[in-house]
Amino acid sequence: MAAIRLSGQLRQLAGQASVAVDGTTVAQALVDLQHRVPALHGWILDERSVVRPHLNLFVDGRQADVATALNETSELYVLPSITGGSH
Amino acid sequence: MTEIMVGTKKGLFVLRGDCDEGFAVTTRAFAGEPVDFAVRDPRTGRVFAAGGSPFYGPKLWWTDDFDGDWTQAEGVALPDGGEQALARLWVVTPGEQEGVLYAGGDPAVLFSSADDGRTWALEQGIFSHDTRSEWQPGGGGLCLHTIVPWPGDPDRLSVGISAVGVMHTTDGGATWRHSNHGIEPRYLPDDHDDVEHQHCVHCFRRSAADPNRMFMQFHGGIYRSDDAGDSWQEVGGAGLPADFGFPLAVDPADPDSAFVIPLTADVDRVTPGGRVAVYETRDGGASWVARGNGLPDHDAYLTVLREAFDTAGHGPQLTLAFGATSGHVFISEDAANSWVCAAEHLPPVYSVRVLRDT
Repeated sequence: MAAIRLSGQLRQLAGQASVAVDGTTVAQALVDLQHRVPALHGWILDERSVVRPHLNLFVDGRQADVATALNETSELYVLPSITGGSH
Repeated sequence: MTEIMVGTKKGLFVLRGDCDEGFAVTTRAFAGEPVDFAVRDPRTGRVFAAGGSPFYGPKLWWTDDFDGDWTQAEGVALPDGGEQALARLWVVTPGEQEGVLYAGGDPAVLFSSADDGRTWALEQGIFSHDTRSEWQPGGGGLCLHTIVPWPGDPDRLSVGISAVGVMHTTDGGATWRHSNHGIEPRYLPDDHDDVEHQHCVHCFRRSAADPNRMFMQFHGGIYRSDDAGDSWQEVGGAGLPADFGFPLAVDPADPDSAFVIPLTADVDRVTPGGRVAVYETRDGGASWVARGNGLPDHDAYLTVLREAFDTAGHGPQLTLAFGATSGHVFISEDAANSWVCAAEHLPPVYSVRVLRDT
């Protein structure tokens, strides 16, 4: 199974830093994450199943999107953007 | 003791004190995150905070104890798999029935709760309204920002949506009708056709003493209704420095009363002339008087947002409080006759709610 690595508030909500998930794409993995950890429902994906705009996805060290393929050993990081200036 | 709940760009601040002894920050929550709105339900003491995280989306939180945990309310979202997502929560308002609350948000959505805010459901009557496809957003989005119950009648409710206008239900939310008759949207071309729901209503309130009497701050102009919002007539003018502004408040004991905080114009959204004042009418809007004793009277160009003005009590002891994007919060405990600064170094203020005798 692939693993989703969580940080910050997402880690607090999940109560763990890593969650093993099913799925052969990032999109499938994120949906499965919501089923495994209901507290995260709506935090990464909005109601349209779109990744919230200020979150970044990385698979095995490379920037990814929802269509990126996963394998059994993939690590998917969900990281908030580094923002500043206007906020 | 008076409690002022302040939603800001950088978290929730709770001020406690009184005008004689001053106010102090007694609670800060959601540090660093926007709190678009916060309110205590006076019936239960439960506090609600609408968080607007740019990372994780809008969430509604509640707590019964500032020293305890906050719980995320369930159901405050649009249907999964749809074409839209909840963009922002604007307001939470207690309803008329025990345990009932309403929440409004963007895109023009109304949620209701029947269990004191633990779980919520989307009100389908507005979400599926047959004119929805024609609704256009204002600068702040397609926001349902004003929710006004009818005292004692849970089936009657009015809401304000920018830039759609006023909508009423008399059947508990099953059906809704537009009600903007008499409102002139001066931002449209002079030769515009009649419009039914292109009205940038900013805020309206209903008189508790006479529920048929309502006052509205429109995008340009102040209006009054004497027929429960079925029709509106412009009343602003005499004594007001401008007809633009966002919030509006009323004295529950006086159906002829209203209070506004004018801003110069839609193209210059600051207090006119560098002078901060709340303007009061006690004659149904025919005349207005500046109430600025204790407020900055020079070089003060403040912006007071829609939900950043509130009242508590009534009559001579009416308490009014407002905040500005400058981080100031001002309060009067004598019906606007005198004001004190309750805080002056907060982050930009998005919302203010005041409660007396806490």
